[in-house]
Amino acid sequence: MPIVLVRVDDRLIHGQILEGWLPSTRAQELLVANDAVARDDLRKMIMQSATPYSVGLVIDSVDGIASLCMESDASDVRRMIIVESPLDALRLKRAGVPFDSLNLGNLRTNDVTVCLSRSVAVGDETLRALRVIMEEGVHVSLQAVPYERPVDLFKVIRRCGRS
Amino acid sequence: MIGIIVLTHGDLGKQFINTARMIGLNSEESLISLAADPSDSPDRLREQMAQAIKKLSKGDGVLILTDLFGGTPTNLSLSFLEEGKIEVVTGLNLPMLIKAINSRGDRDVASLAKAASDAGKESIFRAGEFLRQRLARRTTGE
Repeated sequence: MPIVLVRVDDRLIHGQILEGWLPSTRAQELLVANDAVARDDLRKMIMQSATPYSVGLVIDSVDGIASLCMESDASDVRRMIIVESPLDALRLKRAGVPFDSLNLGNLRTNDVTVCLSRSVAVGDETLRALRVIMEEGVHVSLQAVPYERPVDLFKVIRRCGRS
Repeated sequence: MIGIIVLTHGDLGKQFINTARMIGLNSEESLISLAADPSDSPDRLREQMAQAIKKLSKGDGVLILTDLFGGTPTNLSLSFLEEGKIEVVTGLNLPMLIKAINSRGDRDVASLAKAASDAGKESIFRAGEFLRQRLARRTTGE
């Protein structure tokens, strides 16, 4: 059970992750794949301070996390990966990180053209990235917190008449 | 399951529960908020409390979380204290509520009260000071 959840969340680590997803996935490692945060010591330290000691936290660039996933044999570790955007999720996928489902939690882009859920609003570029991810065989669903029912992105897009 | 009553001035308790849900706690079960409203009589609130405790008492006890020591909700809750069955913790904050909800499966009401109280206290940081100390420790290589 290497990767238990790959989540798009533009807030990265916050209350829903700490109190919702970490307990529900029983993740032992939390990998934050984000180029900007990897260069920002203060944000890294804040995230480290907020994450429970029992969870191994790795914060690195998207490429760095991708290499980590490809190099280290972690078949006995429950890993959760957080990225800020579908584009970064696509980068992980293209780098060979093995995942076949993607959770869309919180996402608000500047060029919003469609609201996919209460907490996910995207523009055309992001929507294109999501389509490519789906075409690569990844099942994408909208779900902010674990007790909510996940909603299939494919169905939402079809309902919006954007498929 | 240990029942939890969040007893506060006004709608504070209800909003605490809403917020816990927003950040991902599935907290429907055995969780009740009650509001002390200035327009209500203390007797009415006492009656609501008695009903809530009755409803939540399934043999595991009830934890009452209140906002302010010395305030009406706390004062009222004290009359319900019962060793091993009903505990009161004051000074409610969100980490305390989360701890109480998440930890009630595997302990008795007295130790749940202690865990909630500890979590409430230990979650308070002067954030600027805390980060400065962490930074200082890192630069000295500790």
